[in-house]
Amino acid sequence: MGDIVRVAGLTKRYGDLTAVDGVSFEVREGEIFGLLGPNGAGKTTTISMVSCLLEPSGGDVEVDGHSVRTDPGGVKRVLGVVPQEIALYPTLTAIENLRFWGRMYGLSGALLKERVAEALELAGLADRAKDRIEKYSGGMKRRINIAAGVLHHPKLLLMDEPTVGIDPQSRNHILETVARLNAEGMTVVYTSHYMEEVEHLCDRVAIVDHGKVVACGTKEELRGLVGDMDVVTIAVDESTEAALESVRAVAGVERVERADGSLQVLSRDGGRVLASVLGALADAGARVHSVDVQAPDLESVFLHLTGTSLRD
Amino acid sequence: MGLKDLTVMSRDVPALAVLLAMPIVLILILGSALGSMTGGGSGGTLVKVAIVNEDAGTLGARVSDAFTKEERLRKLFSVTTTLPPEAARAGVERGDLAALLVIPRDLSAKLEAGAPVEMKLYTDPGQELSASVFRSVVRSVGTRVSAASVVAQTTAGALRASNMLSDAKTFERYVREAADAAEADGALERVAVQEQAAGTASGEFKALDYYAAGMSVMFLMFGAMYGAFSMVGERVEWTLPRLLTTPTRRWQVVGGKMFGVFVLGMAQFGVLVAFTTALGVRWGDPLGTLLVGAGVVLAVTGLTVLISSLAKSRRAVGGIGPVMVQVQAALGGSFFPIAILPKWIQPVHYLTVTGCGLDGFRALQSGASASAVLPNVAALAGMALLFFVIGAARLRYE
Ligand SMILES: Nc1ncnc2c1ncn2[C@@H]1O[C@H](COP(=O)(O)OP(=O)(O)O)[C@@H](O)[C@H]1O
Ligand SMILES: [Mg+2]
Repeated sequence: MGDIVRVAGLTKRYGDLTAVDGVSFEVREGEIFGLLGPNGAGKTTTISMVSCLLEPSGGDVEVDGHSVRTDPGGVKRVLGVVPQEIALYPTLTAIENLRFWGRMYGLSGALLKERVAEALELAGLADRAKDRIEKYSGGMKRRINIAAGVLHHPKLLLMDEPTVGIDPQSRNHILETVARLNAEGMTVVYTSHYMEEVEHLCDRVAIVDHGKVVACGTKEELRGLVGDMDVVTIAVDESTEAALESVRAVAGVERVERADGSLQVLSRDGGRVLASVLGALADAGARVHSVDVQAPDLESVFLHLTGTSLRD
Repeated sequence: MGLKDLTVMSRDVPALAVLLAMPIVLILILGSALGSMTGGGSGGTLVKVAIVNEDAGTLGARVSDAFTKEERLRKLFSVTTTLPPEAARAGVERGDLAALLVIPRDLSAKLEAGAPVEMKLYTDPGQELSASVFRSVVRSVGTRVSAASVVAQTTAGALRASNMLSDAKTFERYVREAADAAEADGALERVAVQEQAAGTASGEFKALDYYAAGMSVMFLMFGAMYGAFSMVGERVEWTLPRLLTTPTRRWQVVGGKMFGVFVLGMAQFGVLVAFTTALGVRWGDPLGTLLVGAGVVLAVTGLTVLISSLAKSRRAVGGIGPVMVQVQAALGGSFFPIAILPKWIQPVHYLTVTGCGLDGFRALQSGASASAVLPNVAALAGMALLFFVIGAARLRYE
């Protein structure tokens, strides 16, 4: 399949700060493409340039053959956008909001009515359609926020952190929705700082940090970057700097990072270094609660590539 | 876009209260407070004058009777005929009376003889306008009376003249004609105007008229603030960015917004006019009222764009908006007639939306036709365009 999005050398500068720094990637038609990176990595800024909201300081984006620089109108006709913020009118009901956004996407009459009903069903909120948005829970707002972006059956859906700050139930609903839309043929660009979501949903992933793409490819390709390393997660009482240093000194340990109440250790042979690591921790006075040895995931890829954890 | 805004608006109870309920309350308060400020009672509101009749004959009494009987003059003047001359003169000097007419001892005798007579008029310089009307009526009466005496003298002799002048009906007719003349040269109206500025009871209606127009214009201006709130709101609540990712064009988005503000303003104006009309306010020519109203709302719409382009946040709108509205309202005369402002600043009111609008409404209220207020409408449309152009050039989307 062809590429529906081509991002080439995309750059955005705010004064001295380069929020997006020469980003390049392609999105294939029909896939779910993940844009994974911690807060402040430049994901929203990138998405905003793809959706013609921000003008690039450099580089270009082509969407379905239309350049954001020369043909923003053409780009917008292909796109559906689900912004990071809830962009709805709080005093209007769900159905009024959807009707409005449908009209803004050029729908009208019977088709509009049909699509609004369909979107409400997709959001699982048909029975709450006549409630004002302001009375909704965060998760319900998020679902309508998504529904408003897909009313017009866009070829390409850009989703910017669609699950931020919501309950697990709504999150699952949203992940299922994304999978369903994709199964129906919609290409999705899914932005998140939740590794699990991207791991679960996406076919291909670009990992971004400090405005740059640090890796891009299928999940398997990315895991390959870590090689045959294991990830040892050790839950500890107190991960002092001294403990960290002593673990780092253990032979066979590639990398160590601290992440809320635990240490993450990358090693070629997790099983073999484990005893020495635990011994080093005991010497440093740290109490270990649990130990977990896993095959690498995107989290460990990120750790490996950037030396920092994804979590904030 | 506009439709959505109207729905949003209809759910915004505080805004509705500000845009509709507040002006109505203020119109009522200002209209009635100023209406009764100097009024007190119903009778005490007239211009007080005194006539001291020293005439030994009967004609003097006819003159003063005529003043108390003529309908139009009775509405304007409260005539006292019982004061002794010194007390009456002291009253004028104190300002209790606007004017005093002294009918001389020899009035009847001289008129009957066909000789010229002189009536003395004392006026209070502090009540120049009221006094001058009385003067013009008196002078007019005097002219007619002496003309009659001349006619009488040359045609049919003193006896006949005496009969003619002692006929009460004739005297009343003279006074009526004098009142007509005074009305024709606008003297009576001048009193009416002054009364209204001072806010007498017969001017209560007029104060209500004035504030109905003044407050309506001012609160239509608050519509611009609401519109700007809503525009800036779209920006800070992320709906504007989202709108800009849809195929809907920028000008359509802004245009829709402006359309919403315009429709809202016209609806607000309609409600205010309907309500104040029910209270007895006379707006005058309906077409003219509609045109001036539309002009004000159009300017308000332009102002919306300007304020939105200047303000980055709702708070900033809350800062810029009221200042803009109040300054315009004050300079334009919404709070008080601009006549009380220093002379040099008065022309400024034509540069304000409130001033232009109010001026138009006032003209219509005092009977001007729709075509007479076209310059106001044109000026308002010009301001609308100016605001819009400056605003649109500065409007931020990101
Ligand atoms: N309008 C702006 N002006 C200045 N800096 C900005 C602006 N928008 C974003 N940034 C900065 O650019 C960087 C990337 O932001 P963003 O794209 O929102 O990251 P993400 O969506 O990955 O969390 C951050 O450091 C942020 O502070
Ligand atoms: Mg973001």
